[in-house]
Amino acid sequence: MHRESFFEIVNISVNYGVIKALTNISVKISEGEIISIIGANGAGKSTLLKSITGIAKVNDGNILFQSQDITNKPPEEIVKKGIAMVPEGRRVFSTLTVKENLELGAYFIKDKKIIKENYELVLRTFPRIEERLSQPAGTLSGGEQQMLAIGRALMSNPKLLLLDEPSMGLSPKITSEIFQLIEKINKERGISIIMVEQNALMALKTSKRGYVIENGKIVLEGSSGELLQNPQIIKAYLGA
Amino acid sequence: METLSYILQQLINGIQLGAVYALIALGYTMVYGILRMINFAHGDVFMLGAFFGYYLITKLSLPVYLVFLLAMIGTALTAFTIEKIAYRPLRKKSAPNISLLITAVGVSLFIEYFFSLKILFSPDYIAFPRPFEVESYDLKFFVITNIHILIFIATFLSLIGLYFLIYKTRQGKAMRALALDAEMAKLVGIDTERIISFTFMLGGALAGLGGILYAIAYPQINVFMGVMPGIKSFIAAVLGGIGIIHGAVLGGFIIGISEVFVSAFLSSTLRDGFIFLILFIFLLLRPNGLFGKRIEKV
Repeated sequence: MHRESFFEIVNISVNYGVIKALTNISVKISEGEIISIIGANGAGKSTLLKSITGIAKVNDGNILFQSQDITNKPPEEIVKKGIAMVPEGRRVFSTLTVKENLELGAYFIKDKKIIKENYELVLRTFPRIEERLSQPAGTLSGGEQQMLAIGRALMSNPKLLLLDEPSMGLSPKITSEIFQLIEKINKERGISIIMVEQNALMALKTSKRGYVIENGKIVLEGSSGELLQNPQIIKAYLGA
Repeated sequence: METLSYILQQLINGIQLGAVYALIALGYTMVYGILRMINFAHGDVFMLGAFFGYYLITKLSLPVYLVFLLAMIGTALTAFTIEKIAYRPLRKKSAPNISLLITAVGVSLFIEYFFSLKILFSPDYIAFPRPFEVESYDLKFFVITNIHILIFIATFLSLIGLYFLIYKTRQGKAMRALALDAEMAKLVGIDTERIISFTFMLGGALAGLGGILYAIAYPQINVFMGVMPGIKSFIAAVLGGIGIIHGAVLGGFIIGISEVFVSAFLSSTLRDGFIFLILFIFLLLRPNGLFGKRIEKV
């Protein structure tokens, strides 16, 4: 390989049977950076994150994390390497308590002290969750479930956080609260974040750089500032 | 007075049978909970428990607690092996559930006929030697035996142990997470294959325990002895709401008590038919079982 990078997707393709979900996608993120991946519904954004976490099988190309090839490693191995996923629709374990959900986030960590530290840090970041620790996760509001899903991911001490549609189904007020928290997590803890969003405006405002996916291909990439000014983007995704 | 004491006596007998069904039903329901599959070979694991017990008593004449322990380890390992050889390879290939189901039926028949071989268990009925003398205590209204007491205590302790495991341990948390969302369980780092193996072993151990208890209570064993208790325990699991732990326990007791009452007050020939009738009527009224949630149509 060329120069060592933090995380890099090199020319991957993903097929679902005969359907090409992703074609020759390359994405790069450096340590401590937030990037966003925007695109319409069905463009392949979620598939991209699924290929990183080992849920979707990569047919061609490589995914490299801290100079290790992690392509097609099983999901339970990927998270141990320091890549945590906050999936679309939150997917909290609904009948388990909020506390149990958080504990499961640190499932593979053996050291009780580290678990406790992570736990306290998560509760400090999401004080609204703390009031609900003994409640079943399914009884939380959408915004609280999103916080819990992010908190659960943070329990694993990730270096890279993957967020799939964090604004989905949330009111504009809660959405901006969630995005502020995402920025805060990135700034205070230096965790790199790849965010997939349909809400292109919010995503680009929060991130430094962005990629635009259409029909499984990257059609545009650049700094968020540039993308926000791009007439094509404005027309297609910013609804102006 | 006599009728009342007769009813009470039948109730005690029904609880005894129900306890065994509950132990078997737990295995069905736990496996269904995490894999959405019906492990039809589970009744045969129960049978193997009785046979392991038989050999441990007759060939090795071990103390009772060791008989239980070793037989349960034996059935746990059997269940582990069945999962590993027969079901896991199919899951790895993402086979549809119907393939898993027919494989489970195949495993069940294989175990029954393989162990029917003369050089193994043979197809004959074998008298099961009780590892202790039967004693009965007349409590005025009904008679209770040390077998009743053993079955009540063993079932009670297993249930407490199981609840502790599922609701208070890390392993149990992983089982519950896996039952809710397998993909998300993997994403938080749970080795789901390990948890699946563990669940099969747990169910196997409980069925094995049920097998020996059953053989002690009704001391005749045979390679096909797991068929009807297996089906009835499956019914118990469905009745309670499949996938729900306390549903399986309650379902087991309902089936066991009903069966004994039908035998005692109606006719022992109608016994099995009545169990299916109960299931039929019950499911018409509550299609998802006692504790099953109604699944909203999307």
